[in-house]
Formats: sequence, C-alpha cells, structure tokens
Amino acid sequence: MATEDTREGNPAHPAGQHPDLPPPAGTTGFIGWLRENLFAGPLNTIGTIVTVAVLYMLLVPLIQWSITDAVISGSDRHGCDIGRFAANIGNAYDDFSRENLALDPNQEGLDPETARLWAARQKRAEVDLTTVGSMLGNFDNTYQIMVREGTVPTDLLAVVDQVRPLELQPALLQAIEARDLPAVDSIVNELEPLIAWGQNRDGACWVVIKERVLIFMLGFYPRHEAWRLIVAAVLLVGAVAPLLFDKMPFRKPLLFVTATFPLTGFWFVVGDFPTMIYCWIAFAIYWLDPNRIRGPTIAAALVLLNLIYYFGLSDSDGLLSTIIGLKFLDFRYVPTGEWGGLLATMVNGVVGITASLPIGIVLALGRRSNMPIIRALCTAFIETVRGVPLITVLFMAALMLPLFLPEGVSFDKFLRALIGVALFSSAYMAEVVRGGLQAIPKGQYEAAEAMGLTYWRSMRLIVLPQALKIQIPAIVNSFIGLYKDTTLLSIIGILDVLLVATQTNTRGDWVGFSSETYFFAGFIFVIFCFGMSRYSIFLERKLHTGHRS
Amino acid sequence: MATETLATPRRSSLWTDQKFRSIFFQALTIGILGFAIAFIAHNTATNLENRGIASGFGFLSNTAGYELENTLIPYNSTDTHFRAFLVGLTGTLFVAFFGCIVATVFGFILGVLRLSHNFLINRVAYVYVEIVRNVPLLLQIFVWWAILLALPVVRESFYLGSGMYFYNGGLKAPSPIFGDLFWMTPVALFVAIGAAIGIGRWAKKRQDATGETFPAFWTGLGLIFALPVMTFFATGAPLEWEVPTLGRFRFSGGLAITDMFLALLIALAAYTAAFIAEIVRAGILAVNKGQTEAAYALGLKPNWTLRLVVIPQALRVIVPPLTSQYLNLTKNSSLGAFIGYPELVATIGGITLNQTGQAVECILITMAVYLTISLSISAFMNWYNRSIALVER
Repeated sequence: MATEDTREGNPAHPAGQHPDLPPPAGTTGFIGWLRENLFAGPLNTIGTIVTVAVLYMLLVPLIQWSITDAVISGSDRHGCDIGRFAANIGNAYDDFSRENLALDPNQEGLDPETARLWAARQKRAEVDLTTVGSMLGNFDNTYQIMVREGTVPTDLLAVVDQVRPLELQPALLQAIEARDLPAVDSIVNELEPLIAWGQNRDGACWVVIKERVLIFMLGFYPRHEAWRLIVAAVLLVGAVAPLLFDKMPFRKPLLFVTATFPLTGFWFVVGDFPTMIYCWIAFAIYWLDPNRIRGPTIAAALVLLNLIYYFGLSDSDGLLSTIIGLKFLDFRYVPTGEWGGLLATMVNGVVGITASLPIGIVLALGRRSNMPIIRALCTAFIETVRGVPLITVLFMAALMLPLFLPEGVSFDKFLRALIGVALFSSAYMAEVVRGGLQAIPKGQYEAAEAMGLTYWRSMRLIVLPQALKIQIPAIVNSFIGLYKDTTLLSIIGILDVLLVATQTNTRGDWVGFSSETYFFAGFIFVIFCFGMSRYSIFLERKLHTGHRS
Repeated sequence: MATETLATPRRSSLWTDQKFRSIFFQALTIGILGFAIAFIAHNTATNLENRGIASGFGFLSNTAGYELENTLIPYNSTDTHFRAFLVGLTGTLFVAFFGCIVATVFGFILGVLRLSHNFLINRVAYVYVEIVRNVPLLLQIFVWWAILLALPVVRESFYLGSGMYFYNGGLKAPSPIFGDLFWMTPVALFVAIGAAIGIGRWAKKRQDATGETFPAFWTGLGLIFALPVMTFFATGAPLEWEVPTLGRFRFSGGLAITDMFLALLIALAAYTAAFIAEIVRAGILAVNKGQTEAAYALGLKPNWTLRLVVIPQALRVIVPPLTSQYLNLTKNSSLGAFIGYPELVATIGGITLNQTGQAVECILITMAVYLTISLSISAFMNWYNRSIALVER
C-alpha cells in the first residue's frame, strides 16, 4: 500500500486514527535480529566474520577429534594406536612431499642462509621418509597383535584384505632405503584405502576413559563396596536438594536426610561404625517429636550405648554384642588411602564446604566482636591464611601437623588435608560472611538488642539469616573455588581426579593419551562448577527483589 | 512481705556483667591459646630432637647441593640454600609481575568483548570465561605445558624472526649486552615519566584556572618515547644483542624463556583474565546509563565520554576486586612447583625442605614471604584505590 494514501486528511483514516504501520522490512524477525546483532556496522560485521572463522578453525578439528574420528570400541590401546599409525603413514608422506630431498646444501655458490634452510629441509625430508616406513612397521606389528587377540575391527579386515600392508612393508622399506621415490609413491598410493581408514580413526581414544572410568570415579575403593558410594551419592543429592530449592516437594522429610547426612554419609563411605545408627535413630525420634526427647538425653543415652559396646562387647561374638553392636550392618572399613578420583574430590569438597561455613561464621563474628583480643586473633588468622597460597597450608597440614602432636599420636593423611582445606576456605568464607554482616543495617542489631535477645540469639535469629541470604551468591562462588582447589591435594599424595589423569598419562599401558584424560578431568570439573555457578545466578535473580537501574 | 522481697536489691551476678564476661572470655581464649602453643612447641621440640633435626635458620647458609635450571639469578649446586631461596623468590616475583600485566590486558579486552553488541562475539567471550573459570587452574597449567611440550624439538624450532626461536623447550631470544653508558637510557625514561606527570598536573591546574586545554597526554607520551630514544642514540647506542645460535642439540647464547615459565604464565594469565573480564564487565555496567547520556548532552565526543566520564567511574568499582585478583595470581603462581618452575614453593618449600627436613622453618619462610608480597600488593592497590576514589564534597 502506498504511504501517500495514509496521510493526514485522507478520508479513509480520520486524523489521529490511523492504524499502526508494520515496522519496516528487515528490522523484525530473523533478518532484523541478524542485522542488529551480527551486522550492525562495518566493524561489527568484521567482528562476526573473524569470530566465525576462528570458531570454524577451532570447532571443526575439535568435533573431528572428539566425535567423528574418535575410537570408542575395544579394551586396550591397540585399537587406538592402529588408526593413528595408519593415518600417520599418510601424514608423514604428505610432509615428505612438501619438502625436497633433492636439495643439495653443499652446492657451489649458495649463500650460507639458503644453505642452512636447504640443509634443514633435506633433513626433514629424510626424517619424514623414514617415518613413512616406521609407521607402516608399527601398523603391521599392532595389526599382528590384534589378530592374535582377535580384536581386529571388521572394517579394518576388509581394508587389509584389499591392501595387504604386511606384504607391502618389505618393498616399502627397500624402496625407502634405496631412495627410490617413484616406488615409494606407488606403494603409498596402494596403501591409500588404509590411510583413509586410519584418518577416520585418529581422533580421541575414549577407550582410555572407558577403561579407567572406575579409577576416575573411585580411586582404589574396593569395587564390591562401590554400591555404598552410590547410596551415599543418592543421599547427598537428597540432602542438598532441599537446601537448594525452598519450594520443592517432600522438602520436610528430605531435610531430615540433610540433617543426618554427616552421620549416614560417613557411615556409608568409611564403614565400620554401625553404632552410628543409634545417633540416627535418636535424631529421627527427636525430629518427629521434639517435645518428648531432649537433645542432652539423647546424647547421654548414645554415649552410654557406644561406651558399653566399645569397652564391653565389641570383642565378644555373643548375641548381645551382635545385636547392640549391629554387627550384621557392619560395612567393611575402607581406609582413606584407598579413596581416590571423584570420590576424594567430592569428600574434600563436601566436608570442606560444610566445615568452612560454620568456622567462617564464627571467625567473621569474632572479627566484628567488641572484645579486642578476640578481634585481633580472628583478624590475624583470616589475613594470614588469605595471604598465603593453599599449597603452603597443605604442606603445613601434611608436614608440620605431625610435628605438633605428641610422640606416637598421628592421624590420617586424608583427614589432615581436610583440616587444611577447611581452615583455608573458612578464612575466605569469613570475609564473605563479614561482608554480609556489614550490609545489615545497624537498626536490625539495635532492634534485636532492644527485644532483649542475647548476643547469640540476636545473631542466630535476626542478623545471620539476613546476612547469609544476601551473600549466598558469594558463598557459592567461594564453594566453587574450594571445589577447584581440591586438585592441589595431589601434591601431598591424595589421588584426586587430576592425579588420576596425570598418573594415567605417565604410567602403565596408557602413556600418551593426555589430551583425553585432561579433557575428561576438565569435563568433570566444568559440570560441577558450572552447575554451582548457574545455581548462584539463579539465586541472585530470585533474591533480587529490588529494582534494577 | 511481698514488698519487702521486691525492695531487696537483687544481687547482680558477676556473670551478667558484660564487662566482666568480656574480660573473662578473652582471658580464657588467651589461656587456651597459650596452652595450645606451649603444647605444640613442646611436642615439636621433642619430635625434632627425636629425629635429630636442629631447629633454627642455620641451614640457610649450608650448601644446597641441588641443581635448578634457567634461574633468573646465577645459581649452581654449590650455592647455599639461601641462594636457592632467592632464586625461588625472583622466580615467583617475575612470573607474578608479568602474569598480572598480561592478565590485565587480556582481561580488559575480554571484558569489553563480553559487552559487545555483537551476539556472536559476546557469546564466545562468555563461553571462554565460563569454561576457564570452572576448570581448576592446575589442570590448565598441565594442559598448557603439554601443548608447549608438543611443539617441535630444538632442531626444528620455529623461527619467529629477529633472532627468536620457539620450540618445545620454550622461547629463545637475543639477550641484550649493555654498554657502558646504557644506564643513561633508563634514567632518561624515569625523567621523562616524571616530566610527563608534571606536565599533566600543570595542564590540569591551568585548565582549572583559565579553561585553556593543553594536549598533556600526547605531549607526555611523546616525551616518554622520545627522550629515552634520543638519549640512547646520543650516548652512541650502547646496546648489542647476542643472538642464540642453533647447535646440534641445543641453543647456545641468548636469552632463554623456559617452557615451564611460559606454561605457567599463559595459564595464570588466561585464568585470571577470565575473572578480570567479569570484574571489568560489572564495573562498566555499574556506570549508570544516564552518565553517558548526560555526557553526550553536554556535547562530549564518544571517546571523551569514555575517558572522562565512564572509565573513571568504572575504575572505582573495578579496582578493589582487581586487587584481589592480583593477589590470587601471585598466590597461584605457587602452582608452578607442580611443573618444576623454580619458584618459592619449589625451591625453599620443596627441595630444600625435603633435603634438610626443616619443615617448620621452610614453611614459615615460604608463608612469610607470600604474606609480605600479599600485604605489599594490597597496600599499593589500596593507595591507588584511594587516589581514584570519589572525593566527596
């Protein structure tokens, strides 16, 4: 429709009553979005083109490596090696073709710089040519091993039937030895189907992850006890969920799982302490009816039961001992030396997180206390710990702590590391909590005092709930830092995910697949840490009740 | 009766007296702490005696007896543990200094890209930041190191031009040989910087007083470049370069930047840059849009708006968290010990500790040094922060 018709005074539309025109073409829809977001101006367009080019250069090889050319079948490295050897025959020959064996650096009348370049090119050509031969040799050796093991992939069998690489090898070596380039060229041409086959299988070797995934997850935790960890993991999810989401179904009963998780989690992962179940039961009774049983009563009864058991009955095999000691529930004790991988990382993360928050709160309150000595001590602790790297704190926990204890007393290396991590992160947590405390208006403190609440009550009921709430995103960030920091535990010999990766790369049957193991370890951390950071963003949005500028 | 009871003043318990309680708890804390320290000291002394380790810092003057490669200050195995400590200290400071610079530059670029209106650039920067922030630094150091180790061997080094080679042992560059009068050039540089600052102050004062502007920035920049260059040539260009020459198996001569240093530097800078990018983004977003609009309304050109209105306000938000990133980077440089970069934790906190068994002393020295560095950086940044802080009238 022509625009002139819709002018003021047009009888079709009285003045002021004209319907809205559609926006100009090219400013809405997909095209409009593209124009606005990708091609808004010359600079913007150049940026888009450059980014697309960089992404193409990065992503295409990454997808080829990790998906299309990856090897996932098989159970040992030969299945991965054979593809790489086959592909490398072609790669080395391509490299060789780019150089020139005929260059003679000793020719008369060459200037020294050209001579150097020529010498280097000739040298490279020779190396590449030898590599062509040795790669075919490697291929043949691996192929023979796979034939013995009966693990040759069927598509390779077909290719080998067609190409017969084992028969070509002597001829190739001879041709290379004699520098008979046309012969080499024809043999490599004959090998072309094999090279093409290899080039589709020279990507990531996920077999290494497949074979080592249990070590990545559990370390050397006994495999037949692994179900306990699965139970503990399920319980952990059940324990964390009600803390994360305050409007989820079954929140109340799940909070019980949360409250008892320190006990149950410990019991399932460590084993050996079935009498812990008494604490659990007592807690359940208290939970169901807080008026009937009081905390101290429970504690006394439990201490008594445990004392009776450990000092009177634990050595006997009688019925009473079995019943009170719950020996039928006795999981085998798994020493921490057998823990590793994601289990070690998770235990460190969860214990560090749970311990650092209360210690951090106490430190933060201490730093804001009116008592000068307490304040000075807390400030000194916080600033010292924040001023040194975690590695030195871990060294301290590993090397100095045993010196601090009386002769003969020693405790677990894992536990020492846990203490180090918890103390370290509690100093950071203290600063986060202090930020929250400072953000609470003074009126809140004064109102709590005016109500006659004691210091601890006013903190517990009035100040801390508000202070922690506004700092939740920062607290989660601090957790992410702690979780990543657990990788440093490998320096004192704890087998965390990263140490599993580096050990896989340097020892045993899987040397040379560091890309795969690092990729997998990084993937594990990204999942957990990215999950936590998304959650903190979600909370930030939810808690953000004010108006944005 | 009842009135009498009421009239009797309740004996105020000492326990409800706030002052007394405060003193009591503090005394209790000191008591417990003192006891704990005495207990620990006694145990430590006994344990050390049983292991036959003499405490004290005497071991620092003993011969270290271990080799460190590519140290910043001359060192060999006949030097003392103290010398090894100095090697570690310079290593830490060196990588932390350059790491902070590279991370800041890269982080600011990344932060601006995060704010780009271009959807693609914005998303790519976001993905980079999220991945890098959520992968442990140690893993990233290992990955960079593996990448550098996969470079060609010495014989097939990349030639980068001007006498620089890049290979799986790191970077080789020409090393400078300073002539007699070379000291004049850095002196000239300092003089030029001083003059530039002076001109800037004078120009501002004059502008405040008379309203006349003076291109102080360009004058200063020109001065900073021109004066040292002129001095350099006036003193007869007293600088020569020793170009590394490629031997059969290794380079001879020239300046070596090791693969360990490069891996650590790249990983530290890339990791910290991701955090700095978020800080920069938050800082720029924190400047109210009305400020930009008001500046435009006053007729300021876009780059003036950026320089005079947006950046000064954004910096106020950016600097405090930036400080803690610098501190983190410095502390994270201790991870170099994992790949054998000779820094504090590798030298005094690692090999010396293992050789001498002086765990307490070595760890205390290491901690004290890091603490000093941290406090110095935060003191400097606090000073800088105060200098750009809003002066409220």
